[in-house]
Amino acid sequence: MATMEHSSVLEIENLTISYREKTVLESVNLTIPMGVIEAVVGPNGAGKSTLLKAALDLIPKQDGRAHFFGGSLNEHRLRVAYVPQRATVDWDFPATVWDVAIMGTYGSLGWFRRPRTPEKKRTQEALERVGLSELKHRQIGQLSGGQQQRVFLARALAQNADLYLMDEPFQGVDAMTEKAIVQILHDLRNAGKTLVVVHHDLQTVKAYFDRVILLNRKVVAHGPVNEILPSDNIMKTYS
Amino acid sequence: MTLSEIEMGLILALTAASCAIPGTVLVLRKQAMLSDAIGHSLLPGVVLAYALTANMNSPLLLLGAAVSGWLAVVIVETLTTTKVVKEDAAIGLTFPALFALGVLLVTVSYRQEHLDVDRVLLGMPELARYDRFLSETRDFGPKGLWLSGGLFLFHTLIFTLAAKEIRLTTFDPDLARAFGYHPMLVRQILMFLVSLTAVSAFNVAGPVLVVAFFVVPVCCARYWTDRYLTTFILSVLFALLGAILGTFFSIRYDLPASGTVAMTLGGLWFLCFVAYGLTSRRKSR
Repeated sequence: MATMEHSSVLEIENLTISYREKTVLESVNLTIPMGVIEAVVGPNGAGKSTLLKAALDLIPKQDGRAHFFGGSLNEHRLRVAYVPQRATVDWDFPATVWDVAIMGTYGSLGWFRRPRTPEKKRTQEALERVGLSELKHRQIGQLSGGQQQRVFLARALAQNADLYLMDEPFQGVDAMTEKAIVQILHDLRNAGKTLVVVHHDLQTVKAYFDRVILLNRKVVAHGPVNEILPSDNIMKTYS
Repeated sequence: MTLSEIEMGLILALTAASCAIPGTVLVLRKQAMLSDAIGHSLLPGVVLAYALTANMNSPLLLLGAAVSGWLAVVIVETLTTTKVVKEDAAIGLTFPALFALGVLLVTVSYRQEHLDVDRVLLGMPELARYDRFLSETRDFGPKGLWLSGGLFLFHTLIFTLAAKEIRLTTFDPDLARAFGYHPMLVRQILMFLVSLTAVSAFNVAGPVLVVAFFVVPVCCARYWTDRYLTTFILSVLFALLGAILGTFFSIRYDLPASGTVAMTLGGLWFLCFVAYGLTSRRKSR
């Protein structure tokens, strides 16, 4: 099992989040190794999205810390791509597929600098990879759910990150698109990238993921799918 | 048309255009009603500054207005972050109180004076041209024209320079934050610009027309484009069109300019709404 001894890409230490006296996450400790695709699974309200957001400092932590690549988020922001839930943005916004995908390069640009040839090239490649280059002039509201999800994926690819935090990338996606997205995620993993994916379909966890975090406000179990899933952990998570 | 009528039309047109740019961003952020809150909340600041200076032309009046518009945004944001009231309710809590305070201050303290409620409530575009930039030998034209023209150029520059930041923080503030941009800072700067614009427009247009200038042009534009830059350009064009047509109607039919321009903008929106309905029905067939 020497291959599992990678250095950690994301380490979450004693993370506690509460919202108006209700605890959403309680003392979460996690270490995510490099080069794996990891599922975050749990019932509604288990704190799955909160876990990603808190790690990225998008919501305040009551307690705890997140380390990225052995350092702080500030030192490694550009190596971390975030794919939010599809419903978090306004799809009627006057923007094209291209406009959204190129936003993935904004992190590397800094204030007031505009995308130039290298950024445009990365955006074009990302759109080709998710199969949307022919729709790049289309307004984002005119896309299907699966296409919208692929725009978000293209945006993350254009960032060229090493760690991908994805919130339900298969939500509202047809079976064909789901297959295509899984293939891209596996290609990323095979290229040494790390992926942490909030997922709601227990049926497919084994087929899609290397490792799984069972979460229900606390970490119920965490490890390789083969060790975690057959046990009674599922009952514990969903009860 | 006389020179004075042309001047009034120009002042209104540039005021409308200077409001349309930040107004577009407000509407895309679904914060259109913040312009209403700011527009109404300027009043107590103006009145208090007038109480201090006793001079209707003092620059302190503008400062007082900008500060109270700003204060309204701060109150709304503070109420919103408590998560007990949502933003729309917070706006509803804030601006009637501030505006009513302003109206009370005006009626109680300045019954006999220059600052009268009608002017404050409706704005007086007809009078804007009498406030002029004069040197000892020359007349450089109405101050309102310079102020709104300057603001329009300033906004064009700022919103072009920071196009990427404004677009990212508007569309996906979480991603902006993850990238290390500061969406709250961008938001504060935007609110300051809205407040500044509202102050300069307030004197010309009054609180109701100010809101129309911020909100209606972009609502018209949204029917005709789904592109980001085009939305801004069309907003400015609709603002100019509404202001110029409105001025024309007010002169032609001898109606108060402020109300006529607001009605004209409303009419333009209705035409867009109907025309869009007809064309999209034809397309979908």
